[in-house]
Amino acid sequence: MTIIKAEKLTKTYQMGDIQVKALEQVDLEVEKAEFVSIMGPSGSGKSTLMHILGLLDNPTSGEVYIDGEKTSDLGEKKKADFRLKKIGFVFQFYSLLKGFDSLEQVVLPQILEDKPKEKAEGKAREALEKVGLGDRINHSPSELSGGQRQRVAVARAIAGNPDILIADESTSQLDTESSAEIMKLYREFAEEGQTVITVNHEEELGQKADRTIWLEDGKIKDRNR
Amino acid sequence: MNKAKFVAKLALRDIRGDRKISLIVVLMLSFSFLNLVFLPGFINGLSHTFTEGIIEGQTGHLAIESEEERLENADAVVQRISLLEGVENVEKVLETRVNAAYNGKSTSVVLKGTSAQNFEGYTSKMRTGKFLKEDSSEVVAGRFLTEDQSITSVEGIEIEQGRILRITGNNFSRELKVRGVIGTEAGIGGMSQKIYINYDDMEEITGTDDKADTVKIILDDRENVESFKNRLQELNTVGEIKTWDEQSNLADAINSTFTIVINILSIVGLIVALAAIGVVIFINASKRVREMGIVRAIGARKTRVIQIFVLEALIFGMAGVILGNIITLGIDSYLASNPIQSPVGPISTELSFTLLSTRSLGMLAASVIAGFIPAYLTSKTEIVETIENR
Repeated sequence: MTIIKAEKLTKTYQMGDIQVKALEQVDLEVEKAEFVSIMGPSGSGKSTLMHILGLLDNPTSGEVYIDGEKTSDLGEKKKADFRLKKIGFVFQFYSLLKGFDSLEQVVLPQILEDKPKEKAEGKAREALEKVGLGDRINHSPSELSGGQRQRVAVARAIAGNPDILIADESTSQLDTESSAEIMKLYREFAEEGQTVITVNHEEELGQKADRTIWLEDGKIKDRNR
Repeated sequence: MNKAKFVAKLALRDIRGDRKISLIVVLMLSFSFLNLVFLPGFINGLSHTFTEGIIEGQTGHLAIESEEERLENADAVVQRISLLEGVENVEKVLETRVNAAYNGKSTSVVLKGTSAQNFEGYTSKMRTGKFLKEDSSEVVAGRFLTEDQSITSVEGIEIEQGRILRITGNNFSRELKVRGVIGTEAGIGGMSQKIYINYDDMEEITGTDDKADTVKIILDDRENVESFKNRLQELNTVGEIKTWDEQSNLADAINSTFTIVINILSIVGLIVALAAIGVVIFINASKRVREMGIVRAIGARKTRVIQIFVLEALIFGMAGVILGNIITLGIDSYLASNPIQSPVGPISTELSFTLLSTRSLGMLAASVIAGFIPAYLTSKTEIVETIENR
């Protein structure tokens, strides 16, 4: 069952007098519970594609369907709800909030979802346990290593059981061991039924996915199942 | 933690995060509040001193005058009014123009007969000596008479306390000792250009009995003037009753002018406060663009982002208003016991509850507006753009 469908996605940036095409006529379909890795050189449009699929940015033209819903028809509030309930996003640079401990970071999206406090905290603890930070729930980001911070970000993304998990170069700041652990986590999520799309800069990590898609100059060059 | 707590925590965390900056912001806002309240309060005080000078020396809060020549049964009128609640002083006044002469110099001056020997409005304005004493045939000279030159319509005759003044009028001439000198530097209310004499002596001089040109009433609260006037009318008080502003165009004009000045100062103060808090919140918003992007990326709606900034601005505004009120009331309290001595009289700030509450609310509203604008602009920025703002 297709959960994400992108049709002829094009994204153009205006930089002074020059038009830069970050994405050009990209077609993509991702099945439910599939683990897909997007790879490609710097500037190939990987992050742009992730941002559009994660509803953080709009394409210049083309369409994205999530669970059969045409996202260009969604208003701002509905898009926020999609990001909250359907999509978990992990950024390259940890993206944690200062002054909040691990538990609070993970509870946050669920509070926005109006879940009762106890239920939200229960889910957050569960997610932190899952990423191996059960003993770090009251630590603030400054008390955690890079790998641990990224795992908190992963826990935050998965705590609400979103259908889709998108990770944009989430291992690029981590050492080999931490990167491998994170990829292992993604594999487990996919096995539990979540759709996982990651961007990887290292081919070895990318190969751990069910499928890798190679992007170059904003176009898909290779699909390897 | 619920949604409201989350919003509050994000807003408070930033305030607590950099305490020095937060303290500077709050101090800046409290001084903006002081600027917003103190100047109008001070001008209110100045206006009050001006009008009080006129009220004490000239008009009273209310005056009863005869619609014909002089009020009859003045004693009975005074006694009746004295018994009413809210009355601080009732004074019978008889006035006539005389010629005052001393040491070869003379001037035309108003001689004022008063029954209010203990009225603080007079006793507190003594420059030398003391005010009139019952059963003592002395006079008190306005301070302009002590000068060696003409200052207003009164010619200075260099009279001093303890000297003998010759007063000459229609069918009378008397030599009276000067018991003291009265008046303010600027001579507001005409006290400085009159000669005061006991009412009984004045009756003798003018040949009147139990009659008064006016009966002047001082209330313990100026705000009650209109209601007291109505009360006097309900009691069928004989004569024409006039409030201080009905009697004195000058007092009314001063009051109206100061009100305009206060309103202008308030608007300017509010704009300055708005700009100050706007700049502070805008700089703060700029620092937190990426964080707000993250909050939106994980599913927060734009309204939540706006709430965070607005709440933060409101907290700053409230802290500024509270500290501003404390500083202002501290200065007000100090000036109440140590007024600034000026040529028009002692000036202290006059802060009404209305002034403090409206300016406090205005400052809070300004904070919310100043917080809303940058918050709205930030919420309008594309999420990707904000997140990439590392």
